[in-house]
Amino acid sequence: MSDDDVRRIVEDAGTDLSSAQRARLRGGLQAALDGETRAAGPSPNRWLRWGLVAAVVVALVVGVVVVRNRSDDSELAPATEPTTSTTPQPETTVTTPTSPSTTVEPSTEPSTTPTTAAPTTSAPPTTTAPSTTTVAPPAVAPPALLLPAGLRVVALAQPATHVAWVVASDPTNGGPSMLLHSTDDGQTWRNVNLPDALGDQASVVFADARNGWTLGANALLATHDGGATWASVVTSGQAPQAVTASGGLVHVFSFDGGGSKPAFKILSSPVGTDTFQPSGVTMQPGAGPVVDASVASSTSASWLMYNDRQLIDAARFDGGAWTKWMTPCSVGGNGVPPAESGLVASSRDGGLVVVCTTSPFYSPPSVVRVFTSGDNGATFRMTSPLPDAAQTVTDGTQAPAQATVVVAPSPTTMYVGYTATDGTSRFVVSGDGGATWVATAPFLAADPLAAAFVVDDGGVLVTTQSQHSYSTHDAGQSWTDVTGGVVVH
Amino acid sequence: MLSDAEMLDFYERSCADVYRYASRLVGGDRARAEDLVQETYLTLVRQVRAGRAEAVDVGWAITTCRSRFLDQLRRGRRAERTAQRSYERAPSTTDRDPTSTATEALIHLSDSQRAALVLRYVDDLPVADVANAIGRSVHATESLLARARDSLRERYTALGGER
Repeated sequence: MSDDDVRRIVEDAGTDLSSAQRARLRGGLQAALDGETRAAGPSPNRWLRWGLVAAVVVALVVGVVVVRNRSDDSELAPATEPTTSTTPQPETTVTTPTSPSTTVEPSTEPSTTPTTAAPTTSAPPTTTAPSTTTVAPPAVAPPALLLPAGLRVVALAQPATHVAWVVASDPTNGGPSMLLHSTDDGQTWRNVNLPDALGDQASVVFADARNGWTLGANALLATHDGGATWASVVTSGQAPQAVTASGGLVHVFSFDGGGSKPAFKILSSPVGTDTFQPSGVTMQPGAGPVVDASVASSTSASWLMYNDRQLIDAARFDGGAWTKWMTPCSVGGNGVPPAESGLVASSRDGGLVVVCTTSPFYSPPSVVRVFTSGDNGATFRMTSPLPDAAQTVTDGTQAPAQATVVVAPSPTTMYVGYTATDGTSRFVVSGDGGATWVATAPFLAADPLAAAFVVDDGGVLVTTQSQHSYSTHDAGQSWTDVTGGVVVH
Repeated sequence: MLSDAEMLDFYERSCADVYRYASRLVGGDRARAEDLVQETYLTLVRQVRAGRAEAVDVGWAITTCRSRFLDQLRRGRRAERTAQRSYERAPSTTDRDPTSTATEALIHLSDSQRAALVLRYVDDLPVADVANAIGRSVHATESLLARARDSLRERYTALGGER
C-alpha cells in the first residue's frame, strides 16, 4: 500500500455531522455566548464529569475530605455508564478542560523526616508518609498551566493571567534553546523570533505584562510591549549571565570584558527604560569556565550568588542599593571547610532560602545544607538535614550529593531538588520552615529533575530530563501531569 | 473583536469540516468527535471574551481541534476502549461505502496511531512535526507510522476495501 493509498483512506475516513448534532452543538455555542458557562447537550461522559465535579464541590462545602481513587487513571471520567440523576455544574469559565487527568501516586516510602526533628501536626508535609487523602481535589483547582510537550523547559515566567513564557530545548536533536510564548494557559505555544540566539544561561523574567527580558548569547534581550518585539540591550562589552527584577527595577549580572580588568558587574535599570547603570559591586572572575549565577527576588529585594566551580561572591539588593552579601555558604581557603556552591530562592514576600553544597571539585564527603532567613539575608537559620544528603562516599556506587534546584512558594514552604548520595534524584518539601522534610515526586527516581518553578496559582511545577512536566498544589502530596501544550508553527 | 453573530456565522461555515476532521482523529466515535468540536468553539468564545480575538478561519478551528485531541491523547484521559464501544457502525456489512470502510479500518488503530496518520497524511505535516506534536522522538514516530500503515492496510483489506 503506497503513501497515496494511505492518504486516500485516511481522508475518506470519518463521519459527517448529522443535523441533530449540528443543532445541538450550535445550541451549546449559543448558550456559551449567552453567558452560560457550559454548552447544552454534552456527550454522556461530560454529563458524568460535571456531576462528579458538582459532588466534589458539595463535599468541599460541607468539609468532607475526599479520598482520591488511587486505581483509576482519571479522577473524573471513570469508564462507567453515564448517570442521569446529576445536573451539570456550571463552571467558572468556558475554557477547554485543563483539569488534571493523570495523577502520580504519592510516594509510599517511609517518612524521610530526620529523627532529630520535632514532629509537626500542622501544615503539610506531616511527619507521616504522604497519604492519599486530600482536601483539594484537582477538579476544582485553578486551571493548570500546561508546558509544551517534547521539550525540556528550563525557565518560566507568567506575567499575566493565561500568559506564560518559557525557555526550552529539544534534547532529542540537540537543538538550541528557544523562547516560547502562550496566551492560553499553555495549551498552545509559539516560538518567538529574537534578534539574537539564546545563551547558555537560560532565563526569562517579566516585571509585569509588558516588560520582560531573556538572556541572549551576546546581549540581554528586552521587550516593552508584552513580547510583540524584542531588542538587544546592554551590548557594550557585556555578556549577561543572569537577570532578575523587583521593585520596578531590573538587574543584570554581566561579565564586563571591555576594560583592563575584566570583572562581573551588576547593572540596574528602571523596567521600562533600558538605562542600565552599574552598581558599585564588582566580582572577580572565578577559577573555572563554568559560570553559574543563582538569582532570586522578592517584591522589593534581590539576591545573587555567583558560582564558578564554587561560590565566588554574593550580593544583595536591599534598601535601594546592591552590597556584598555574606551568605552561609563557605568560600573555602585558609583552613576553612571545603568550599561550597550556592543556590538562592525567595518567595514573593521575602522568605529567603539558601542551599549550600560542597563544591564538586572537592573530595567527598559532600554535604547539602539548607538555610532560611527572615530578614532578607542578614541572618540565617540552618534547617534540619536533608535525607541522604551528607555521607562519606565509601565505594563506587555512591556519589557526592549535589543540590540542583530550590524553590520557595512561601516563607515556610520550600522544595529542594538534589542528587542524593545513593545517586538517586530527590525532591523534598518542607511546609514548616525546614523543621521536617518529606520526599515527594517519586516519578523523579526514573526521570531526573530538570527544573522547578513556583507558578502563579500557588503551585509548584517541575520539569524532567525526559521532557515531562508535573505540578502540585498540595505541598507535593499529589502531582498532575501537565505535559500537554502543543507547539504550533 | 468578533461579535456573537460573527462567531455563530463562523460556526455554521466551519463546523462540518471541523467535525469531519475530529471524526477521523477519534475513529468515528460520534460522542468524542462532538466533544472535540464543542471544545474547539468554546475555545473560540473564551479567546474572544478575553480580548484575544484573532482572525479565525477553518484552519484555526482544525488546529485547535487537533490540539484538544492531542491533550487528551497525552493525558490518557480517554481509554481507547471507548472507541470500540461507542462507535456507530454502518448498518450493513454488505453495502459499505468507501467512507465507512475507511472509518472502520481506522477505528481499529490506537489513538496514537490514528493521530500520527491524520497529522501526517491529512495535515501533511513532516514527520518531525508529527513527532513534536505527539511528544515522541522522530525515530519513535517513524516506527509508529509504519505500524499504523501496516495495521490500516491489513484492516482495510480485510473489510474488502479497494485500493
